[in-house]
Amino acid sequence: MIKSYKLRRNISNAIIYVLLTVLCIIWILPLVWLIMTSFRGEDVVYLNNYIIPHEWTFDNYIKLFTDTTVVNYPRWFLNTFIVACFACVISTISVLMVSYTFSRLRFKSRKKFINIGFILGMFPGFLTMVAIYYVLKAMNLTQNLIALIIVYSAGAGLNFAISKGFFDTIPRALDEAATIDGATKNQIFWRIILPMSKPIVVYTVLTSFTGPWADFILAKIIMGDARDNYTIALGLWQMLQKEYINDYFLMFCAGAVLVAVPITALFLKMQKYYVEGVTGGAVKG
Amino acid sequence: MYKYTKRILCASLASLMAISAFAGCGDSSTESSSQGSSSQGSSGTGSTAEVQQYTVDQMMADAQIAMGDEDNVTLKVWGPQASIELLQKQCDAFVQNFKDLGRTITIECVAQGESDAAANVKTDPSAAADVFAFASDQGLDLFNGGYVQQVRLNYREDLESKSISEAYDTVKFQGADDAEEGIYAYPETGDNSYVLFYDKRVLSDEDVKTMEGIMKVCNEEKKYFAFNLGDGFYGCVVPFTAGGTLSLSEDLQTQVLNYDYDQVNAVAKAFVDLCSTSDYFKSEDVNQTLVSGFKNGTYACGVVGSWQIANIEVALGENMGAVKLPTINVNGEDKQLISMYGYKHLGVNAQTKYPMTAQALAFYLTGEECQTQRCKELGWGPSIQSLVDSDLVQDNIALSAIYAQREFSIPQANIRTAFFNPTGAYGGYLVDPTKDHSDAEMKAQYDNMVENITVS
Repeated sequence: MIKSYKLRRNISNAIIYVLLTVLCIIWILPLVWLIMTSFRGEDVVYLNNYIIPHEWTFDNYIKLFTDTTVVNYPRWFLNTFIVACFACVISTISVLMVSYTFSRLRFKSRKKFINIGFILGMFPGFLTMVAIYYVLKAMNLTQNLIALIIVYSAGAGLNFAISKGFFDTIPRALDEAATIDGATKNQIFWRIILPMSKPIVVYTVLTSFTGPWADFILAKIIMGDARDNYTIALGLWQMLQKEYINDYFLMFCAGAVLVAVPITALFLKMQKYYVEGVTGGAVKG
Repeated sequence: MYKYTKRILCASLASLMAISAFAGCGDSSTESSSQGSSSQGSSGTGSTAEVQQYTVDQMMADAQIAMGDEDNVTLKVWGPQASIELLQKQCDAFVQNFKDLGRTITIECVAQGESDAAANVKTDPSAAADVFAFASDQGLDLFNGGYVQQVRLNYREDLESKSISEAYDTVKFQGADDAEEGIYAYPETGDNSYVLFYDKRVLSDEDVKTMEGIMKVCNEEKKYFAFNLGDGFYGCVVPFTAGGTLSLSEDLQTQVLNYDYDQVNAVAKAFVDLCSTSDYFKSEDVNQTLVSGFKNGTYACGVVGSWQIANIEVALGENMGAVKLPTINVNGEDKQLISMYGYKHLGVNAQTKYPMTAQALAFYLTGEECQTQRCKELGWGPSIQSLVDSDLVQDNIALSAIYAQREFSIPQANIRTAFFNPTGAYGGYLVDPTKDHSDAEMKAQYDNMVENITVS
């Protein structure tokens, strides 16, 4: 047994740091590999015994946006962006309203609704994909972007749990004060609670944007053979099929790197509110 | 004490995470087989031979009668991306012909790979194409589910007389209640199989005749031989070389394997001895690696399908060699490797609104004229015997090698989807150097494969 406390601490720290470093490398390596490969100039694509390209080039990115006859990446990118934006706005509003309702309003069967919501929320959405497809087909909505927006935002309200928890922590005294001043429930929600809940709004916006942005399963079943309406996930998957992989693998890597751009931008833009919101404080003793 | 425990806990959790991150290492991927891919072949060389043709004019005249009173027809056709442009041109010619005869037809060609055509048709037949291309291994599924229409009787005779006989056999199906066999698709290509492609700078014509010759050179030259036995489409070579064949139970629901264990095991052992002991035999997804391997000179040869011909030609240029599969020495006797030989067909959707026009279109698209165009422009091997015998195919190294392999193959018919994964797992096991290849384990793996295939 090592007696010196300092030595013991140093040894255990060393072990922990080594482990964390290994984990870190394992986690980051695929990303580095992807980014490096996307700049690869030589067309040896799938034998990856090296990471750093022998020949650097931007061509893969340029081709992604110019060579659109077979792989229409810009179109797919735009489709996904439109769907994700609409779905994001609709779901965010819906989630926050449902959460506020469950948190603040008291009405008959409120508990029951919450329970039903929780239970339904436990089933992954894609379990019902075949049913969803046929319902959409009955409404003549398959193979277009509106169908995707509906699918991604319709059930969003069920994910109220986290934001309800957040609203529960905001003192009801604020609502009461506002009510005394003559504010309606609607006004309280928009003017008082929401401005104080920036972290949860940001969280909801981010999750409702990334969901549709990265979804594959529902897009695959809904879009079928309508290639012009494909989303990015479908398009990237397409590029890895064996009829395309030899010609499009490097472009796939470039495409996969670009997928991260909107999400990163959104996160960087909204990051500061995470902190600001909570520390603002409203009720001071 | 509390701090100490916490640290140990942290450290052990971290190491657990680290270990779990390695959990996937060393697991060779065995992609499920997907046979029907687009073949972006080379342009066919040589001149078109004199072919006894059922001319387009005759065909159109027949179609005019066959289409009955269907008018204002809208059809959708599925074909792989590589062929879409040509397919649309051919369809436009069809449309133009009938426009002159006073019929209005609109045809839209949409890109849809043949390998997942059946899956997409099954998802929603009413949204699927009226005429679609699929690989022959999906025929049984499509027939069983009633997704494809029976070919019109007056086309049967022509299809039977001109098609490669095995291609015609793979579109014949007979349900338990059917009085006789029906024809359920139009043979479109006759080259959906694989042969050995090699780099002439590394291997000589003599080397590629035997597995032993290839492995000897590969080991000496330190270059790879890629043969994806871990995929059932290629892995079936082991039981087939041992004389195995496939059939179906009467209700078409269960796969029947006519394998003899002793013989299969003898061939399997030959593969184990030859391949699992070499660092230069690679069972991997050849579609991803072979072309790159040829480009950077690390691969000597590989077994892959016709769909990679064009890419390999680009990679190797005039150094490309293609021959039928080699032999393997089993207990002193050289046995020719027997492969699985697939075809691609055009099927007519059972739910199409315009069955007669769709049938006429499928018949026209698989006729001599269209197949010749596809062979010249896309390098697709035809399914019509007279075209196969013509210079168009015989002067093309890769295509002629594929057709030469046909003699040593089992047609891709009577196959249930459940056949592929267990067969691939068995093939992959044989050539995996990290696995135990004792007699008992070999038997267990074989039994496991047979059970998994025949259980459904």
